[in-house]
Amino acid sequence: MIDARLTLLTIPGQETHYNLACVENGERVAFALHGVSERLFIRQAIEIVGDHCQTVSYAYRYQSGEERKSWLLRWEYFRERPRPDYEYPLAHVHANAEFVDPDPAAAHLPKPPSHLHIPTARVPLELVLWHVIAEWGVTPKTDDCVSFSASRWRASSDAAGRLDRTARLPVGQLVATISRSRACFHAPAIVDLPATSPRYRQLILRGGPPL
Amino acid sequence: MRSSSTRSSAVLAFPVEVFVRRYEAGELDEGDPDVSDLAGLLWLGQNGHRATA
Repeated sequence: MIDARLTLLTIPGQETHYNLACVENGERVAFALHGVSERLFIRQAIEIVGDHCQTVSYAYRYQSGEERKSWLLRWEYFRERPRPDYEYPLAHVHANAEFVDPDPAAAHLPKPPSHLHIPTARVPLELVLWHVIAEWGVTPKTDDCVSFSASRWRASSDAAGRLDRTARLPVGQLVATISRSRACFHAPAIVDLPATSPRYRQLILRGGPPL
Repeated sequence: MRSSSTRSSAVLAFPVEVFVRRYEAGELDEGDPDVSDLAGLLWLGQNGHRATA
């Protein structure tokens, strides 16, 4: 068994910018999940703005095996267009699937269905975890993980079930979320706090539980 | 907990400068999971941030 962890990766010269990923031997890798053979790849870019964190981009990839190319679902998001002529919805999902009846679509679609950027709201990591637990058979280590995700969903959605796109995640809540997410994985996920960022340490001490 | 390495695709073999230039020129396959992942990892277009090696 290999101890997996989520790591906050610092960006040289950018004290308030971080990438969150599971890193092993210097390479970003996908988590194995309890109860299934599929894996979950997580990459989230986070910026500290004032007293809260905001998600700058993410890529959550549910995949059937070790290979990147074995992806089944991909949730992706950019806060701003990554280039001026980027023509896709900034929050979208890709499904590695085929149409039941492919011929009509093929007449109009110049690319495979897996290349479609299907619009979504911005998807919190908790909902991805909830989804793989509820529908893919991933086993949480505790029921608390599921109830926590559900409560976050209720807290961040309106009566119609739409995500509150203005919701902001305080630094302490980010840490708490990651800590709670440990329960979904085989082994504890540990957040490596960047030792080079006094600003970040200050925010953790003020806004969230120490790790 | 077991995690696994993943194989590199063609874009992962690019030097950062080449990836950025080709991405911003729209030359890369947006359906390739590595393309959007790397664009996000490098913060391309976010807060005016440009990639650095």
